[in-house]
Amino acid sequence: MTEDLRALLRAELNDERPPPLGDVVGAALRDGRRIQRRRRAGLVLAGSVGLVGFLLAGSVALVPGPRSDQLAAESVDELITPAAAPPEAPRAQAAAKAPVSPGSVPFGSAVPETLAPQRSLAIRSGTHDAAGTPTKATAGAMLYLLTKLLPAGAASKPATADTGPLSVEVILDRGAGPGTIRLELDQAATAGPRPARGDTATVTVADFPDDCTRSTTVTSRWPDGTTVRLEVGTCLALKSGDGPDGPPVLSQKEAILLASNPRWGLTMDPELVAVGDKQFGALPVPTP
Amino acid sequence: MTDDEQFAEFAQAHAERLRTTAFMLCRDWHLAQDLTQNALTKLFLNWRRAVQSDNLVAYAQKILFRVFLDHRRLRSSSETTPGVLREPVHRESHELRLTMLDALARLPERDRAIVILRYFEDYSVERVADVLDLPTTVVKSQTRRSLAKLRELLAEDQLALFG
Repeated sequence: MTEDLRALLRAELNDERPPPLGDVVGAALRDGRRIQRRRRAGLVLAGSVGLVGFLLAGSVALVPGPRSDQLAAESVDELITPAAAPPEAPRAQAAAKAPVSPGSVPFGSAVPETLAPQRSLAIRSGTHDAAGTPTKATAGAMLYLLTKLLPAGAASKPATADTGPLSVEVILDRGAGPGTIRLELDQAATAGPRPARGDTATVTVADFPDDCTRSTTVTSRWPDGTTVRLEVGTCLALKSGDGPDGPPVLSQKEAILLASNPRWGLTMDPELVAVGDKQFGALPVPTP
Repeated sequence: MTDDEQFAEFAQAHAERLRTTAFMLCRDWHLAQDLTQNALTKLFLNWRRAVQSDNLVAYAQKILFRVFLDHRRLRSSSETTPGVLREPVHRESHELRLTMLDALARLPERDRAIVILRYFEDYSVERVADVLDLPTTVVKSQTRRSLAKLRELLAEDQLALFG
């Protein structure tokens, strides 16, 4: 089958009449060098700001957290993990474990306000004990939890995807301009028996400065394979440059805390599912 | 040879292949050119890491597929491509060609990428999962769905392709 399909596709491609390739290599080189220059300038600026921040923070207090709460830089993806990742990530304060209920999910981990352009870290978010038997997650439950976890602002246009992994999106406006927030839930396959959920998520943060529809992407991976992917946009436009590009609607810290919340999973609180389905029963599918 | 020269040499040698792959994904030569250029830019930015990979071509393709899937959220990726004027060739091959391309184009972008990787690039399920950053279970299930969809769309004489 594979050979036949491949042969058919090759035959089709042979019949195509592509335009001249042009100087894509030269253009890629020029773009790449320009981005490199911009990054270097950004690093210098970030280094200066970071030094000032470090000095200010050091003058207030430095309380090392317990070993289990240490934020450790980890390699997640060869394309995402930065080559120049900081050798040692900052420490976090101890996570305070407290009862949770929809709309009031506590976070204990201290997350740095800003990080390098592409980086990974481990966040100990704690575990969440569902009130009742966990129920299969639904888009309604996801939207309900998402809107509860978002900071104060006007959330509108909730929507979901009709295919693929569970995925929802909402427009958030905190007064500085609207931005799109998308969240996707999935679970990776495991070779042997699925390990326990655990209390520490590996979080990868990546920036896409050229794509305002998802300026920051935070991916949170749990030991049992649960993956939460959060995309934070700085504009509403589906095409960068088509609309106003404002500041991110979530800070890095807020995005990391949201994506690493222990309540996300393919099974969720039955109460969340019930309330979410009631509130967001018939979700529209966004038009790409 | 400097890094830039190494990159330029590699890019010159493989740009056409990358553009062809991009065309299969988007069915638009101009968009394919943009995607190729974006992928090469990202490859240039990651060149030192890329040259340490086992398979530089596969690394470049991985970037290309991710660039394409990132692009799927942009409005332009869902705009209808104006019809391309094709000169008639042999009737049977003409129908065959259009049917397969059209059928592929009707798959969602990610599913199309899976099918192309699995059946054109001959990647394993695990490798497809790695390229697209998906669980292998999703790759398997989406492959099944995509093939079923293709079966629905393709002409009777092409169903033999699916055994």
